Parts: sequence; C-alpha cells; structure tokens
Amino acid sequence: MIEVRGAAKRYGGVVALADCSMAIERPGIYGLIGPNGAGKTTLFDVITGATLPDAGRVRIEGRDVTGIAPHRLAALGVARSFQECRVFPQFTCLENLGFSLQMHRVGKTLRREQALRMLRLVNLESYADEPAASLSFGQRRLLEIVGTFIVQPRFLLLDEPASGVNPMLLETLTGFLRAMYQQRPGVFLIVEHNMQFIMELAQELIVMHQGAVLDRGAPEAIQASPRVIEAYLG
Amino acid sequence: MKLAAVAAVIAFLYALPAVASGQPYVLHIIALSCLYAIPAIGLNVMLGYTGLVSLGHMAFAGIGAYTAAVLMVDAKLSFWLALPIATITAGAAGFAVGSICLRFRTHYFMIVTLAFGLLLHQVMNNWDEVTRGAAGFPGIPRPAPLAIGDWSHSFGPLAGFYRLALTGLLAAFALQWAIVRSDFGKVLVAIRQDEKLAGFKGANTMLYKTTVFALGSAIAGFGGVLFVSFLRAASPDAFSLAESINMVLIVIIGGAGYLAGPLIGALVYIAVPEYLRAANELRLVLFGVLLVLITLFAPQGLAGLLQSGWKRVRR
Repeated sequence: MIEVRGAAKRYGGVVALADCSMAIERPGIYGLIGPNGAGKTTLFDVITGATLPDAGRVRIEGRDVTGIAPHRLAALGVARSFQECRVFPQFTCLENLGFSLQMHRVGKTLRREQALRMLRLVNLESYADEPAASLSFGQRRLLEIVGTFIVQPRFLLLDEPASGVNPMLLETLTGFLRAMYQQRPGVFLIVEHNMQFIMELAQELIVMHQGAVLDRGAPEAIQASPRVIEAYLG
Repeated sequence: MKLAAVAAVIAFLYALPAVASGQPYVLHIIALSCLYAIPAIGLNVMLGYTGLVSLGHMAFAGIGAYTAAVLMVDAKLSFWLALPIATITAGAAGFAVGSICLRFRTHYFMIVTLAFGLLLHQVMNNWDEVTRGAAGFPGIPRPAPLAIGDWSHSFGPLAGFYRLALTGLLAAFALQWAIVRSDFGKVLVAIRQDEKLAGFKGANTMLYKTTVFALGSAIAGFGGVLFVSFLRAASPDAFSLAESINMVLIVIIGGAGYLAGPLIGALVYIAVPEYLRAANELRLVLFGVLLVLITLFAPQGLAGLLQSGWKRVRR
C-alpha cells in the first residue's frame, strides 16, 4: 500500500535519510519510533510530498508518487498532521473542519453536520464557533487530528500526536483513534515519543535509526530487541 | 433591515449630485475616491484576504487604462467596448506576471512585484508611439451617452460621470462580496493563514494565488479605465511605484481583509488631504502624522476599529 525504496535526503551536512526502505502492506496502526534525528519527520515529509528526496522512490498503491504536490496526494487519500500542530488559527473549529471537507468536495449543507458530529466525539462541540487560536494547545491538537480524519483518509500520517497533550485529553485521543480505526481501517502511521501511548495503540512498531529502518515488529518484540535497545541507549 | 439600510445608502449615493448640486468640488472628491477605491478592492482581495502584498498593483491599472486609451483614441472603439477588453487585458497580464511573481513568497514576492511595477511603468513612460510617453496620453473621451428608450444618461458632466464611477465601484464591491462569501474565498483566507496547511488539505495553492492575482489585476484595470476617462488623459505617473505604495497604504489604513476597508481607505486617503489644505504647507506633514496614528492605534485599519467599536457599543 505504501512503499518507500532507497529514500535519501540531506540537509546540508546532516543526513536525514540514508537509503531508507520500508513497506506497509496491510491496513493497521503502525508506530514509527526512533531517537531524535532518526529521520522520522523527514520520512513523513517525503511520503506526503512536502520534501523532494535526493534519491529513492515513493509508491502508494503501486503508483509512483515521488515528489508530487501535497494537494494531489490529498486527493489520493493521504492526510497528515504536524509535529508543531497546524490548524487555521482564525477559522473557528467548525470552519477548520468545514475547510477539510470542502477540499474533498463535500457540499455546504453536509459540512456543518459532519463537522459537529466529529467535534462531539472529542468533546469540542462547545468550542464549535470559537476561533482555533483561542483553544488550549491540547485542544488544538485534537482539532488538528479530527480535521485529518474527517475526510476519511486511506493513509493517515500523524506526527507526534500525543506531544503537549495532557493525560486526560490523551485518553480522549487514544479512544478516538481506536474508534476511527474500527470504523474505517486504513494505514495509520504514527510518529511518537510517548512509548506508553504508542505501545498501547500500535499493532506494529517500525524503528528508525540514523536515517534508515533498523527493525520492526510487534511492540513486545521491539521492546526486547537488542538492536533497538542499543540504538536508544548508545 | 440590513438590506433596507444598504438600499438606502445606495439610493442616497445616487441622489448625491442632486443633494450637493451647489458643491461640485465635493462631488469631484467623492468621484475620485470611488475611482481609487476600485483598484483598492482588487488589492484587498489579494492583500487583505489572500495575504499577497503586491507593490506593483497600479501598473495593472495602467495596463487597463492605456489599453482602453489606445482602443478608444487610435482604434476609435467605443468606451463600452474598450472597458471590458481593457479589463480582460489587465487580468491576462496579471495572470502572466502573477505566475512568475508567485514563485516567490513573502518579502521576495514583494520585491518581484515591485520590479514588475517599475518595469511596466517604464514601458508606459517610454513607449512613445503607443503610450505617448512621459507627456501623457491626451484626448481620452468620456463614455458616449447611454440611451435606453426614452431614458438617457450623459457622462460628460461631473454628476453623470460620478454615477458611472459609483456604479463601477458598486460592481467591484459586489464582486468582492461574492468572492469572500464563496468557497473560493474560503480557500483564499486559508492560504493567508497557513499556505502550507492549505496545500496539505488539498488546495492547489499556486492556482488559487495566480487566479486571485489575475482577478485583482483585472479589477485594477477596470478602475484604471474609468480613472483616465474621468481625467480625459492618462499619465504614466498615475501608475508609478509611488501610486502602488499608496494603494497598499489605502488598503491597510482602511482595513485589509474587511469588505469596507478599501472604501474607507480611499475616502480617507483622497478626502483628508484635500480638507487639510487649510493648513497649507503643513498638510502632508499632518496627513503623515495621521497615518502613523492610525497604524499605531488601529492595526486592523479603520474598518477594524469601527467593527470593534460597534461590538463594544452593542455589548
């Protein structure tokens, strides 16, 4: 479904990706973990068309999508969130979600209804008409993630969804992600540093180290993998 | 209620020449304000709603103006034919120049639009065979009278032209209103807030920005045609860098991203210096101080100030 072959990317002297290959064949919740600077976000950027790789190809459902513009990937069913949390600050919560729907050609009358339903799922309905800028960071994070789900993406890439989210909202988030997956299974790829959160959620972990995939497997197996332990501690 | 108020204001504006019949100077100033407000609306769609600060906006008004001048004087076309052709020409030029300038962002974009503005001004200033050069393009006619059945309207007299300028302004305003309300307008505002995010959500941001640049330029061109027909002559200096910067000032003073912003900005920008004439040499100094004060105390422009004031009153 998603395949990355030999991706390489340098930023000046820093090697972000070095001959990175990875394939995801089945729908599921996948955790992408690794020490800081392992290349996780760069891999996201390469998959979602935010950055052109120096070498290598990206395929989605067999189709070569290397370097195509983000808006065209969105049309193919790819959605993502950002490490720094991006929402439209001056749009209200409803407008933020409405915009995602508008971009997927949902009619005006349906937008409000669908957006309200999603806001209710994450307890944000009382903020429906508040500008996103007035929300707390954790709420903005929820809004951002809800905004990626509302268009029913087949490929969802979340970059550190749990960072900066307080434990109570984190529970809401975990429940929401599970419910979304059960409702409509797709490829969910999640970069995360919060191990407890990702171990609980993911069925498989993919570990990156020094710009390439080091190991992958079930959470328990990864926890016990000597290579992974060495990468994290070394 | 709201509709009735808008209708009353519009009716009053059309009746203004009768009300102020003894005040041709006032009417002249208001007509001029209308003509400045039209390109300002074009720039507001770009700068206020999409976040594209163009420093070459008036060059596109110039393209419209000179296209119409050549069509009317040299090709003997009627004003009513020259107006749409010149508007489309300015829009097409905006599309071409925009697709180059929009490869750049933020201050780089501003510099490139500035360069194109200077370049186009040089063409108007020096292409003597077509634009008549720095001396200006004389003899541009006012529109021929319109007659429908028994009703006829002449644009020669000030009152007649004022009504045309007002109609042009209302048309541009209605277009701006329709854009802002539409899904298209929603994308523009999204691009202003976070262009990258709008792209990831599925918007072809380059296409939207180029379209809006073309649209803003077409509106500027439309205003430019009316402007030179009003003055009966075109001068390159009406479309210079200084005028483009003044346009940015008008939009920001009036309130960028507010529907009424360009109208308020143009009125203040044209009318206030006229009424400061009492202060003679100090007039521009006083005006400068006023602009600084507005920027300091009304960062959202006068329209923003009025809106927040209104909210406080209604609380």
